[in-house]
Amino acid sequence: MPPTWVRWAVPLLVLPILAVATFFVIAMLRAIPPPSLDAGPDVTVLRAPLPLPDFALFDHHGRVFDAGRFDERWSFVFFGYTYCPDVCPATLSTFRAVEERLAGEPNLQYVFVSVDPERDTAERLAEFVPYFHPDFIGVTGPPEEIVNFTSGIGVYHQKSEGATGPDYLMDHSISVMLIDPERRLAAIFSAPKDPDAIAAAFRKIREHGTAP
Amino acid sequence: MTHASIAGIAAAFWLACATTGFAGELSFHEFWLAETPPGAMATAGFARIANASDSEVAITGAESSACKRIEFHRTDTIDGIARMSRQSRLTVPAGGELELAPGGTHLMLIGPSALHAGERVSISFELEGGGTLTREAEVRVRGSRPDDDPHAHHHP
Repeated sequence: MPPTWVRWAVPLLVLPILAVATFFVIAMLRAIPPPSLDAGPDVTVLRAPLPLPDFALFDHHGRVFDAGRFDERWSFVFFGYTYCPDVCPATLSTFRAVEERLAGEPNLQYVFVSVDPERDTAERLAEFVPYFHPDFIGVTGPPEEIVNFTSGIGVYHQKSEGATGPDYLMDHSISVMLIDPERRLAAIFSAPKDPDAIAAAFRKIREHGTAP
Repeated sequence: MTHASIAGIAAAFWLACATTGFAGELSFHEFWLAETPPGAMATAGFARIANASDSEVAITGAESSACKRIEFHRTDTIDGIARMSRQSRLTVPAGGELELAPGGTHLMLIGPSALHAGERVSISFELEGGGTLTREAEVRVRGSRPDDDPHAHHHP
């Protein structure tokens, strides 16, 4: 039997070392961000959802459309222009197909934001957007307010090179943005073509939730 | 049948051949136009054009009574940004195909009349060398058929 002081010395030495080690391991684990949700190819789920900037636009009914319109619902948002013959109608058709697949989901909206406010008036959007679905929302407004919105979430747009006259084209991001109910950018769909994949990704993201 | 009428038929046949040029060698498959949303200022046309001949065929222009004018455009998506550029001509490789597809090269119909699904629209193509070729496209709602977008097939 060793003396009493030896029996006490071991735990007295080891316990503080264990405590310090545990502290460092926990600190390290906290420093490593958790892996982001894998919602499929062409979908980036943000580890830290990005709060939307402030902007003041209006919808195709002429109602104010600001960041508050994203509260308490999920939103798919696409940026394009009605003159666009190819990518924009194709993406809005994809929206329509996604809507069919997610028709039972509550509090979900689909928003088309014009990056060509010069030609896309509220009246113009009121013709164009409901063609794809009566509940889809068209958004336009002053060019600087559109830039406030798009630059805040990394959406690119500009008139195409050599654009002259009224028939100009626009270069623009093709990504679809998913906004969470706390007006934050939650996910980016970089090649929004397959409605099944988009609907499945949405269900997964909604179930998983976004970080507080 | 008189010699004159035989000569007439022969002349008409020759003329038809002369004006169509290589037209007989080009075949259009799945030729469709996207239905126009109300007030649309442009819409797009797609097809798979096959060239059975052993020489390249160039299409230098297109027109239709269903729109103000037709241009050839190509959408390029680079780093997530779509850019459209006007093409002066469409070339169909010898013994090969040219695919006009959403998100790629397509016909851009500018100032279209209202086009509704199910309608058929005649489009005339000018061929390099002077021939013309007229084909009918079907108006379809976008996304109404899975094969409307060949790129979608790349995602299983």
